Amino acid sequence: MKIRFARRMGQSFGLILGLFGATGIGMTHLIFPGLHCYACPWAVTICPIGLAQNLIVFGTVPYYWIAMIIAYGLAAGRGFCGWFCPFGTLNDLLAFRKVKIREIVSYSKFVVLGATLLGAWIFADTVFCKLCPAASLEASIPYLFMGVAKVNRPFLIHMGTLAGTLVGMVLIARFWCRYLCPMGALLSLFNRVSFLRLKLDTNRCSNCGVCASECPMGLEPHIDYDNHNCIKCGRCVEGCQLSALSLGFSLKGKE
Amino acid sequence: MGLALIVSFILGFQLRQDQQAQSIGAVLCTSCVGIEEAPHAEPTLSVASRVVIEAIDQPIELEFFTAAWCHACPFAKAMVQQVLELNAFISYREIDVEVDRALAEEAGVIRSGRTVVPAVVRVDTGEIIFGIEDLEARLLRLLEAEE
Repeated sequence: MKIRFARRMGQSFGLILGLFGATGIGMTHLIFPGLHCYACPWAVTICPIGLAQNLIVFGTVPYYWIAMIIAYGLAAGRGFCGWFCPFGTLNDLLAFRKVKIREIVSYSKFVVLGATLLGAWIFADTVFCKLCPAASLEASIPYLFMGVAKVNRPFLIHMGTLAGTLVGMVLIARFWCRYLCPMGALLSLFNRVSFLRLKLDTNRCSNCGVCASECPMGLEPHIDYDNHNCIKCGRCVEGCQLSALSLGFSLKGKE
Repeated sequence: MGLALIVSFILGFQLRQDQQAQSIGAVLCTSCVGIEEAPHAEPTLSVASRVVIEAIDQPIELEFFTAAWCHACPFAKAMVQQVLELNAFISYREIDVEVDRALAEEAGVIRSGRTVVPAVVRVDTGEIIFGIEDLEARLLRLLEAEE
């Protein structure tokens, strides 16, 4: 219960930060540690994927971007997906069907990440942003009501990708986070070295598999607690009656 | 990893990439996030529009707000320039919103903290056109509006 409450607080904070521009504060230098459209009328932070594409278009070696991604990755890895990202929170709200993850298919998010960066380089344009369901929800729809956007072909494409993603989320828990999120792909590179870690006490584990049934990502923490797809949400920790699993901050090799 | 983090931060701040990131986030390029499409073809004013523009007999000052990386801006600029070629009463000033944000603020092309580009402003009426969707018709309405 404690983890769940803390996570809800973290997700609320992510949402508040995502919409903090409503207070009148303009855009800051901060890169958001999740997928949140910088074109959102109330955004005060920059989308890491949108920024990466822009920097590729400009031909800039993105030192600042690299530093921020490493910092976020080392701090929590995909913990940001489970504890902070507003689009992850939406995935959470629609996570009705916890089906087992297809490990090989989960690498598709790296294909999305690669295609996003390559697309920016080849077309000198932010191609992913034109399809991104987070942009559909956080920019296209608000700007339609503000009179800046219109119901045109790009808007309908946005609505199509949003609808498809929402259906995916309902059919498969954390569908976007599992298979398509390029930011999730980036953070997953750090999952095994991040300070926020899921730990398993094999002496206590009875291999009952309750943790697997709780996992929204469809993982099996009792077998592979260190999986790169783990969003460190702590559902498995709460579900484990034997307290074999725990979640906390530690340095690699010091658990 | 720690060293890469520190070196990247130092280089990033030294090259003012944090400010570059902020300026990217502070400008909403309508075609960049899929609010509208940036056409590749040059715009061509219709004969009917040309007649209306040529008939304008009062000075009109336009301001055109743009950003270097805005994909829809060249289309809007080309159309505005066609208008200028047709009527000497119409004058124009181009403003890079990354260079002069204060002017963008003054003209009202900022929505919820984002400077929206491309934007055309008629100075005397303060009327604004955002983006390039149906630009010809909206530009005509802008030019025909009474002061």
